Amino acid sequence: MKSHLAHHLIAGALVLVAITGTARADSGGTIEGAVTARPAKDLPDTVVYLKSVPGTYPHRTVDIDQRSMTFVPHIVTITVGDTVRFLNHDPVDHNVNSPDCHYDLGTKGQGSERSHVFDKQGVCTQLCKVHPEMLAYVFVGQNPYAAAVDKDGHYTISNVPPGKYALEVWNAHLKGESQQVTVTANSTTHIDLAVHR
Amino acid sequence: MIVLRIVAVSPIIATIACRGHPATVAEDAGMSAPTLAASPFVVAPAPASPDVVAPAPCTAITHGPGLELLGEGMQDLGMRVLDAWPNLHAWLLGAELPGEPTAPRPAVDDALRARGAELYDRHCSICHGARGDGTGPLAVILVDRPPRDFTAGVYKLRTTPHRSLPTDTDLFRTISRGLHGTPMIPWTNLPERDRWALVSRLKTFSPDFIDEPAPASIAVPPPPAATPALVERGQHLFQTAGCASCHGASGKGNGPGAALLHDAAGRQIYPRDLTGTLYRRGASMRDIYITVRTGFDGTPMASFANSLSPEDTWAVAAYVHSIAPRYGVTAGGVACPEIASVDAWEQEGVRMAMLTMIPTGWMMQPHQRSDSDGDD
Repeated sequence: MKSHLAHHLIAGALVLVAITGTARADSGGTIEGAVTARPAKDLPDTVVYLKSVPGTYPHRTVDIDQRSMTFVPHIVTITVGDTVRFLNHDPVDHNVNSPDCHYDLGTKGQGSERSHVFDKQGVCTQLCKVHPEMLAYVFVGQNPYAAAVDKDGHYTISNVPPGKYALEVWNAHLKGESQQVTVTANSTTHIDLAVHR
Repeated sequence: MIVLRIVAVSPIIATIACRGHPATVAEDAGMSAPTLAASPFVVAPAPASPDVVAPAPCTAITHGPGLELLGEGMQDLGMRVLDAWPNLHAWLLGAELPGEPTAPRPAVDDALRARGAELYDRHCSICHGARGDGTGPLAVILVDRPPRDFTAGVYKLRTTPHRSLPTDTDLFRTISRGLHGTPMIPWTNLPERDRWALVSRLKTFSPDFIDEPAPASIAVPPPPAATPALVERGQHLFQTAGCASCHGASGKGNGPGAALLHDAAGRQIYPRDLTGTLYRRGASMRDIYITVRTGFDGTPMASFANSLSPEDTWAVAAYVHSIAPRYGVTAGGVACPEIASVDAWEQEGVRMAMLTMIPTGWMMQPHQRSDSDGDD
């Protein structure tokens, strides 16, 4: 009986920790909106991000898949120190290289896997030497509060710690203006942005 | 119903085309034979290669199914267009027309703009839509070959670098040469001034033409002689430079990546069978060189300008040209296409063109012409 009670107490405590943990994550705010691009054909190469958010962030690993003769997704947003794992699901050999970030992970066939750690802030153009039509971007930010736009230009950055930040927009071909944003807990701030020549 | 009839009409036009009078085709086409033969845009007869099958006799085409389904009226519409269109007959048989303007382009003034708007509405909007967004009334039956959406500012046939706008002359050339294998027939019936008017109209549909400076064509160095050694080097590059992933080891469009491709709009598309079907831009070495270096924007066909040197590009062009289907255009007229499958040719070359020829022929009927003739 006693041991049952102890179990209940431990379980209860775990639930409480879980709830608090969740609550903490949820106390951030959300920034969302849409980006318009002129010319419109450049819209897919856009990331909206917070320039600087103090803190240290645990390193993650994200995947870029070489699938259907494209990189999927077209843009990954990661934080300095994160790892990208490159997969190949196509029945042809693909190469993984970046001319601006100076790495070449070689040319490998279906089912292969290779990883690269991104230890510098910036944007790496991700290419395949075998198939010049294949193009992706690895956006390496100071913090994880960044989002690539969807096909209609919408973006959502979630769980942002409350505070005042500079909201920036990056586009591979175009320029956009920075905006100040004040994020408050559990609320959504809507900001539309534009990129142009 | 209309789809059925349009599909069914193809054998008869193939018949018409192939029963033409070879000795007088060039004359019918309104162009002197030497000009056609000397044009750099026309595929010259190539030395026989093991990949090229023997010429298919034209009679094979005249025996296609469905003749009996065809109404008299449809035949008349097709004939009406063939009669009125310089070079359309030769084009349907695979000839690549010279599309360069021969006179200086007219100034873009209000008159030209008005003319462009009028011609666009009359000839183009049925497929490309009144607002230029590719959603004209015929677009619903063109799911395989969607009409270009001019509002997107993305063009396949350019002489400009990847991701650039086309030059005005590029647009003029496409209107003049047509796109083989699509309903976009060459608008050779329009005087050059009218084609320039259409160019100015097309550019109004995308703000990109206002924002971006006029792009320049890429440099095309003089082609080297297509020696067997060059062709062989091109064949090697074709295997190693990425071409074979989609186009297949022998260029038949059956590479391992062939079934995986999508265009910018997410539609599945297929790589060209470089040995069996007509090329969109053209199959001369120069045309292939330009396609390889500029890419078809909006499709997986990349620009190889950063991965192949000009010399290597010429080698690839020489190889691809060597496996391209032959459409022998000679001083004596237009020969039948030398291709493996008459069906494929018929489907590619004629069926799609008929989609334009039927409504165009209908609009050319006397009772339809009366309201538009006055301003021509």
